[in-house]
Amino acid sequence: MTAWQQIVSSAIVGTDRLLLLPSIADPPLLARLPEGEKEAALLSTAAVLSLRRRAGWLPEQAAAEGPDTPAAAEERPGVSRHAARHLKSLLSGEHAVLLPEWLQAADRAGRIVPPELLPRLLAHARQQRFSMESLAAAIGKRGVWLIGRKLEWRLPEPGTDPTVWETGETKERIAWLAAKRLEDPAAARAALEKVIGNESAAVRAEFIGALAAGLSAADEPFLETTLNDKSKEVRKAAASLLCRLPDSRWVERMSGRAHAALRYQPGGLLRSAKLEVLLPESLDNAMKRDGIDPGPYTARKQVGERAAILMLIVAGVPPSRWEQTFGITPAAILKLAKDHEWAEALLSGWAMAAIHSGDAQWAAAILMDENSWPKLLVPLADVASSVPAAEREAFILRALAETRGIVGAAITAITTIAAPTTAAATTEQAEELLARLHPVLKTFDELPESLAAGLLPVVKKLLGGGKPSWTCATIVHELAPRIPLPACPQWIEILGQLSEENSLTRQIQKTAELLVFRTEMHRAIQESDL
Amino acid sequence: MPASDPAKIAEREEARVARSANREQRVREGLEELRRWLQDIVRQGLPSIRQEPRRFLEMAARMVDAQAPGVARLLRECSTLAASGEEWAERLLHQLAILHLLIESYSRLDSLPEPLQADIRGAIGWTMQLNELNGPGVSDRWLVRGQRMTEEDRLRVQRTWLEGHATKQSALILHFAAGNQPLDRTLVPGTSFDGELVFFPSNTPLRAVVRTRGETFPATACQTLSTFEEALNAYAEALAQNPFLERFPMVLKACRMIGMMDAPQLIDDAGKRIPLARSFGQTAELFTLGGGHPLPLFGEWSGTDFFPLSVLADGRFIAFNPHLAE
Repeated sequence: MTAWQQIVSSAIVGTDRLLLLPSIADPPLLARLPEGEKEAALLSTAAVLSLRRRAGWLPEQAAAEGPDTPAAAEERPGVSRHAARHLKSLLSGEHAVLLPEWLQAADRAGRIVPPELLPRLLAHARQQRFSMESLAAAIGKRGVWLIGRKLEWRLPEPGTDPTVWETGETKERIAWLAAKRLEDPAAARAALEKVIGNESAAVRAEFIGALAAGLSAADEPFLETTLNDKSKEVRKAAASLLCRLPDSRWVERMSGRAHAALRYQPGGLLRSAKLEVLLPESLDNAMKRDGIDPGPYTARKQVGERAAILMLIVAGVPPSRWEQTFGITPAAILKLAKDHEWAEALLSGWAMAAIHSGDAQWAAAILMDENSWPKLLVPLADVASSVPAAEREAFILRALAETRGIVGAAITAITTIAAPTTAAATTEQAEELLARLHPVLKTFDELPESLAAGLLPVVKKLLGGGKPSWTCATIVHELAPRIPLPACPQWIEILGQLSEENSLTRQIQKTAELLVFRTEMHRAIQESDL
Repeated sequence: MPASDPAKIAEREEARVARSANREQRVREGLEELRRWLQDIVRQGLPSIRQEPRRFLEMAARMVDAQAPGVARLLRECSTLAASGEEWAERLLHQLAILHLLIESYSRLDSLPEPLQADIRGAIGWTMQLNELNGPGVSDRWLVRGQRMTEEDRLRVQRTWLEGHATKQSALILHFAAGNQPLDRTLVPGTSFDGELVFFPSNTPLRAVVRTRGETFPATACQTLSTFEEALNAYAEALAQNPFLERFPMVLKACRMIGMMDAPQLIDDAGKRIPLARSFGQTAELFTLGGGHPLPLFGEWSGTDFFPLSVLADGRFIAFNPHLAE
């Protein structure tokens, strides 16, 4: 026991019970200790020893532990101090939606994130599930080095390590399977075939879902056998892939059912063209085997059971087949369904089919008629994603022109007839249409300039006047990161004007602030420090 | 009232002397009470007070009444030390022993050399009026090395460390703010200025005030880098001069972080391990700034651990956030 340890022990036990007063090697120091009570002696000795320990403390040699290769030299310069400050605010939550845009802009400018911000950026990116691709360029060599220095940030390398597939957790195995599919689809399928019998139904369904990567006609025989699975979820997972294989036996069976249900009667001199629908009687076992499950739709009371079955059957047929069968265009076919008794089921079925087969023509035809949107039981954005951006732009512009018309009419109504109820109704219509457009607008990473320009007058009218639309303000705020940069100054100016004498001042100002930040952030990324 | 009225001046001087004597008396009584209290603690053993850390705070309040705020602060720190995990007893005993040493030294104040008297009075909590600082100033180009903020009983304390370009002297500028009062923001880490400082009398002069201030420049490189062991030697010498010294500036050369990000080690160029303060909140940033390469690092040594305040990385001066501290 060292002298110091003796003193500490005495202090812990208490001088009432124990007092170990060590002899101090330095007699002059000891001689100076005051005489008297033992408590004072203990404290005096402790002071001398503790100070001596601190003064004489020597650092130990570091033990070599863990990796010790320094980061490689950077090839790109860091962003300016100004830009780094912007990144810091983004990371602390201010205008956080702009973070991916900042990274992309930095990458385009050929610049990298300053090292001191990397830990927060990487932690944030992991939480938000950013893709590594969007980060890789902007984090530089230092970022890559740092990822290697934190266990949780290291990316698993699925596909390369077969032990993950054999012993990993379900999530890791799914990632492995998806990665392996891109590398060697047949080998991945074979690996799955070998083990699928041993897994629980939920895991079987998830594994089959992972075959979506690298899907091809070669998978059809395996998927067809999984339709014999006793679990409905597994059969549905297989069906969700089979519907994307137009030559599959599954699609043939669906086509047979669909063609039995729909009959086209061309118009003549005395009658208009008609679509006859024979609703399926009930869900038979063959349908169940093919993964048809009206349950989720009837449970939400969106549609009756037989209509739901019709919808799912129509959804299983590549829509282009109807053009061949009926000999008319998609628009003409959709027109037949428009005021049909089973319009919801038919339109939704075709929308689903367009998504499954990635049929842009059909998807565009569906989107072109915004009146049919409320009838769709599938997310509009999914339909929109199947359409090339240019066509999306065209029909949205058309819809916006209409919105403007409605608002214009409302304003005329207010000023001339002073009929507030009518005016409110039409403004509501415009608001509703904008709300419906919103999910489609959101499918653009950046709105085309024409679209942004078309949106501006609508926003002006919905946010101006005595009763600004909260819905519109919210939508505009969400769209703000998508407004093209060159259009920002004009938007900032107009939002600034709108926010004056407006009950939504704060909300509109927030959007304007976001746009100001965006503009400045892009300017700063182009700057260089002296 | 004319300030030159000799009668008034004499009157005021008389009042000042009386106030001052009164304070000396209260401090002496307070410290006597503390002496008995400390002895009770070591008589009962440290675990008894560890279970009632409130007693430290009560005694601290008593010391505030006795006009010994420095002693009160040391006592408040005790309540944290008592709950500081492994080796709490070592840390707590050190602090109690220093308090004891302070009481002993104060009782024999007149027998001690003058600069040490100033250190003792400073540790107890006497503050010197700026007009009492009439010693010669030190002119230099001063680099603002780093800043750290702490809170002491509703008072925010900002410590700013300076370093003279020619004199190689370190200086500590303190600013205080109560409640929502703003703190002085004119000394920006990473800048330097031409100016004259006046040091408070001390055996280890560090604390100073800025007497005159000229132009501000971007940071100038400082050449006073040392290895960790050299810096520890300087600390040992300073501690021998002033046992009440709490924080000591260190400008270390070629410090490097090794290992994984969650449990890295800081080492100097001789491979010696530098213990990092647990309250330092920016280990990840420091780790990343180095990227495994050696960097010059400035910080405070507490006697047991190192708190980084600024670093020079790729020619950029980077100050750590003073607010994250503690």
